[in-house]
Amino acid sequence: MKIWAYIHPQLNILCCALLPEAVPEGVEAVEFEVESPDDVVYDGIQIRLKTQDEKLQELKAQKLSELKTYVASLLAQTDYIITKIAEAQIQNDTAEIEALKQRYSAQLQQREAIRAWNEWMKQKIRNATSLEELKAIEIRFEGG
Amino acid sequence: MAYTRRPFDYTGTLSNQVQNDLNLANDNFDILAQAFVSNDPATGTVKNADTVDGFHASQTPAPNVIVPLDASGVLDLSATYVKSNVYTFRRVDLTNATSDYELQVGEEAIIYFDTTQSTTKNLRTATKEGLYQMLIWAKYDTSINNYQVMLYPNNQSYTDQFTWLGICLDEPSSVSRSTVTFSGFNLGRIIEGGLYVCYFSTYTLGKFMISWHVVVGSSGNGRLCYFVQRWNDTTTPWTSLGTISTAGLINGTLVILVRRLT
Repeated sequence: MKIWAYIHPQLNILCCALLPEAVPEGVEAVEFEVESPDDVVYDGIQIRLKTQDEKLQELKAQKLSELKTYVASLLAQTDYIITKIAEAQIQNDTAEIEALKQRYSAQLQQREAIRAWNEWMKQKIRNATSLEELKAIEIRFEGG
Repeated sequence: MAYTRRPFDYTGTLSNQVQNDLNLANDNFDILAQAFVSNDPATGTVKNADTVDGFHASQTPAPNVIVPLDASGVLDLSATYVKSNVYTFRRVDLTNATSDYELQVGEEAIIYFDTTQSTTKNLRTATKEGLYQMLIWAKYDTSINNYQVMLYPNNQSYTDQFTWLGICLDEPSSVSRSTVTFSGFNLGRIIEGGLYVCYFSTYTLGKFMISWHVVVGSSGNGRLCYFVQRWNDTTTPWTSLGTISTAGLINGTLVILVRRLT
């Protein structure tokens, strides 16, 4: 899409008009062909397109954030087991701790698998060298 | 000639009195006949009998015409609309509009966004301070990609001016939430099709949007999301509903309905 990027005179922020007539009167705008208005950046000196590396780092941060919330949501489902074990530990009830570990062994193994998968995914995201490679990484745990 | 209510003059003494009276009577019959449809009293239908206060009735809606219910009992106003002091019942198609149209309270706009041709669609809707509703429907299509749908109000992006909080429930059981900033309103991702419902306030001092959507994921699983968003700047008026962007070409037409609520 075509955009017309400019610094908003009142807000002093980078804006991208999607129509030339959306640029405020008297304001100088720079025309770009982009995939998204987020492809443009103001670096304090000039308005320019983000470099491939900047885009890559941005998308990596986004993917890692997505992964973090996703893993947290997976672990949250069995957090009550950890709470039970922690309570038993506070009471120094070793028999109860062992009983809980045994009763919930499948869930505890699952948590370990989620954490291992999380580490593997983080590495995969960090190691990605292109936007295409990064976009192809689907955040979905299938170990359960 | 004028109608004479009592044409026969029995006191008349003219030599051609009878002839005069009969001619006058004929003229009167003519005048009376013209009051009927086809100038024929045999039709049994008086001309202009369908008027109320001078307004005709017709099944074809037109200015200054009274429209009856049709054969199905429906009041079909077709191209025209109903307006009261507080609500306008009308749908306008803004798909090919070339300038912003100001919706009246209650009025609805429909916009078809052919996503095979363009990644953006200007909704061409002027906004006043108030409340609006928007529905977006993307048909189920396995070729649709996981593109983010954005609404850029006033047809432009404002870097990091939109605070977004989203909670999503993915099948089978994962729940995710996050808060980030965007340069426009984030409507969510079109994965393979879905339905989006958005309500927003366009007051300069309080520009908010709440929305929820259901989409079908690439693996066939569903996703339900609930978003709340705020346009943080309280000085910029929201004067044009904006432009919808899909970030990439997708295979289908989005149907967008916008209604002004206040």
